Amino acid sequence: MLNEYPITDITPESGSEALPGDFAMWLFILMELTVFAIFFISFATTQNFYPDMFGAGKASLHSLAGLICTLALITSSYFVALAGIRLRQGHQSHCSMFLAAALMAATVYLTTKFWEYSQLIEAGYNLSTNTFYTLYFFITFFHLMHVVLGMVILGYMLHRTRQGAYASGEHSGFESGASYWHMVDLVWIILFPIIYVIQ
Amino acid sequence: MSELTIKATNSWLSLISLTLLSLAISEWVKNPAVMTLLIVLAVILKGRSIVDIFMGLNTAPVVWRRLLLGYVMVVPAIIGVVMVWL
Repeated sequence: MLNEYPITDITPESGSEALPGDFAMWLFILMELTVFAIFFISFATTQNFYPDMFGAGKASLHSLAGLICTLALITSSYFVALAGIRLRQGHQSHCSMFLAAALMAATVYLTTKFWEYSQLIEAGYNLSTNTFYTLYFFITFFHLMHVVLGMVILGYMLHRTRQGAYASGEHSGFESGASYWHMVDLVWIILFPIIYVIQ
Repeated sequence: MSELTIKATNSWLSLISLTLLSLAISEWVKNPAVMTLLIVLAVILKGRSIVDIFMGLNTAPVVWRRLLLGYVMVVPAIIGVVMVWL
């Protein structure tokens, strides 16, 4: 059976390709990752000062909601990766389809997160309840803002793909947006166990 | 299915598996230090998968790959050390 995909299907050697997307976007990604690293380490450090408070706080969170958010973001990132593969293979319509799927998965994250916030607020917890909830709401909401920005970027990428803007082979804009989205997923991969899982 | 699609799909499946495994570890492993170490290891493996496969840095210039891989190893490791030993 002939391989229906062109030679772009073959994985290049390590270090043989350019950085995907714009250099400026990668500087921005590094900056954001640094900020989140400071937040995460601060959370872990503060937990040591208030172990009982953090234990009680974590027990009040909805682990299932956190799991759904994790699976949604992982799946969304996967769809964006598939969209990029299809784009490089010249399949614009498939690329659009996977970008739309990525946005739907991201919507699952958003919906779940807002549900979780509403449950906590109804139970009487907010930013000023205690140090744990201050950090919890601040860090997760800061991440949520990045998700919202990422969804706007994905929406723009979808719009441009449908316009045929990437048909010429110039994918830098697409790759920049995709890299940002994967960064958002990467941050949550670290955030979820710190705040929800590790007791 | 193309080679790249297979890699991405395997990465997705491993990310989900490691996520579920982390939850299981948090329930079954009672020693806090061991639990934290195992979950940090899972985070590092997940991070590597995202950096190399989803971000595509496995074929990017080495300095950028090392920068991002360094992040997904060092930051979770620091967090683990802080949570367990400080």
